[in-house]
Amino acid sequence: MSWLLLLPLCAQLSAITREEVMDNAAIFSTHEWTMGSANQYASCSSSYVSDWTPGETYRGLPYDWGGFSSTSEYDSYIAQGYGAGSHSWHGVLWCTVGLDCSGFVSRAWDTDTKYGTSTFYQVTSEISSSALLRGDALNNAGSHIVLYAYETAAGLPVHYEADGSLVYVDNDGGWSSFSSYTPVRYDDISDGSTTGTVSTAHEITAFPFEDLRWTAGAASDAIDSYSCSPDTDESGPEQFYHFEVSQGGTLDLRVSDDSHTDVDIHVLDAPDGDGCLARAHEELSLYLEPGEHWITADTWVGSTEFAGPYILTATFTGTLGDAPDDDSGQPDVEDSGQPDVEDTGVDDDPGGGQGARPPPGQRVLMSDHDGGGCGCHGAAGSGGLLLALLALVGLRRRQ
Amino acid sequence: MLVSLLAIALSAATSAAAQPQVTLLPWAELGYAPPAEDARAQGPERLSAGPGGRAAFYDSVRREVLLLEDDALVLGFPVRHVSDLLLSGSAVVVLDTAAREIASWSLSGQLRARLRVPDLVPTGITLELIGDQLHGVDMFGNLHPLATLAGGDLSPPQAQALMERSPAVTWAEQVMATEGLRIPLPAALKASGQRLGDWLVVDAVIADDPIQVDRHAWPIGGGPPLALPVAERLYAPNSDIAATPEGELLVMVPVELGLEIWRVKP
Repeated sequence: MSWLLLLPLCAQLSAITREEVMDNAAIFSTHEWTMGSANQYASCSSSYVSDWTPGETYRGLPYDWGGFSSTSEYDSYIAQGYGAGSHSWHGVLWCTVGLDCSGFVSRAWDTDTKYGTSTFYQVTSEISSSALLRGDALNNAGSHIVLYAYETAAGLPVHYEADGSLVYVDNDGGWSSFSSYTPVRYDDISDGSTTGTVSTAHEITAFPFEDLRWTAGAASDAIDSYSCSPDTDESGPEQFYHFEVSQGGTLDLRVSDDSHTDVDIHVLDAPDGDGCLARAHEELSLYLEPGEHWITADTWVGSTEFAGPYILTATFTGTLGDAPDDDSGQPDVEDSGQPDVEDTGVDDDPGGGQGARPPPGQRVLMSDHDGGGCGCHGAAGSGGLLLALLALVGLRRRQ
Repeated sequence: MLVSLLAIALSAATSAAAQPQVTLLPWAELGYAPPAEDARAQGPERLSAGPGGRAAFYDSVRREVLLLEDDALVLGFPVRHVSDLLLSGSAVVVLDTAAREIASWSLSGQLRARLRVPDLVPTGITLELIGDQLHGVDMFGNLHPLATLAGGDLSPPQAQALMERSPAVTWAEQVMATEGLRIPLPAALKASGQRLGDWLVVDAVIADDPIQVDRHAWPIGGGPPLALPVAERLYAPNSDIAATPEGELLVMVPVELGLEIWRVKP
């Protein structure tokens, strides 16, 4: 065999990190699109009817047998009236769009061409199930492939897949779902992480926002404490997010993590610990003025460093975009007329933490469950007082 | 060698286990699409068990929710996309994470209510009913309040905030554990456990290339495990196992002639 024959195959491989693979998977499973009446039907098939309902907005790209659409291609073709998704019983249709299982994994691995479950062997190596890491796959040649993401405390394999009607993340079912599958690893996947630092922050371009990510192995470990909760040890690795607000609104954040992980969320108006506007263990809500903002998901450190996976979700009622210049005539934040701080009274700030530095003119609504560093969950009312006392005597409990 | 020892141990323990009652629903009454290149086989999935021995599942080919009473199909009603399904004493609740919606249907197939899933709730969730509060359970087992379910109707939940909780089942150092039960699995390459009522269902990976799985249901109160089939020949339904509030374990098993429903008394 000549090198000329090998070159095209090698050229199709492109290095990608596990984090980038998971980012790609999340893009396809959370991408929002709106079904039009024209997308119900397919010009190339008289028997085709889409699964989706006109006028509805959906999250996640449709399953499309033979499909290999990027999100931008998908949006473009949907706008042109192509059919939304298809099944194998429709046959392979050129006039429908979406992703099938292998198209989805090809996109997640960012291969230059679509591989199938029977041809992935060209760019993967078989591994043991015990060696599976996020971004690897479980392949059943001739039928189905899924992207492995995470294993729950009970050992359940969480995975992304294009199956049935759409691309989604599945956290239900045990290993019996993968009997007769083979664990495989993309040949050009790497473990390193370069994104999520101050200079390579994850850019939030739209709300609602959802992100599954890990602080373990994060590229950034720049902030150890925050001005809005200076006594809370956040010296573990963190992930930076960035967005710019052109019109103010209320930002709502929620973070969920596993039982071995403790990730706290912080909203910043400067990319350092002194820029902290608010922080929370699970949830927060605050009004944001126009300007640049950062969010960090930072690892709390207690008896050990509780780094691990988390899901960050966010909504925002304002508008994203370039912030007006300082001399643009916009009122200063002190003059915005917003109440300084509105505190829900939930377990707040036993350690002088959250809310200790509300920026002038910004409304901070706390729905946090450990206040400003108490570290206790579900504290409310008189329970908050008890937990505050516990915090003061150093009986900190984090889950 | 270790794998063989595990199989022998489980085989011996299973010999005295309770025997399931099996009902066959013929394929003529159900949708089934065979596998194709890059298309997993499709059929019934998302089994849920309710009080009184009722069960419901989603026929992903015909896009219907089917209701079973006394192991006979009594009702089917069309739905859109189903991410998860929950059968209570008064309603069938359907979660559609693509449309960000939950819908409740009466046990006679009437649409009762629709409610939007809040945007702070992530997409990868399953349904769990605690009292009259309906939650979305994320991959970490944490609860995102979705709705109050009362009399078959949906209304906003009593609380909005995320509720963290400790896992009901843990797999660590080759031991599957839940409250009241510890199962050492020294030979398992991987294992997963699901707590379903008074049962712990354990999937143990015993070989790779391709993966082979042993599946057993262990009674929490003690006693021998029940060996369960691993559906792979036709297809492996998503969410193929559930428990009734009375403690019966239900399993859907696709076979050549149709869909078997296994029912195991506690």
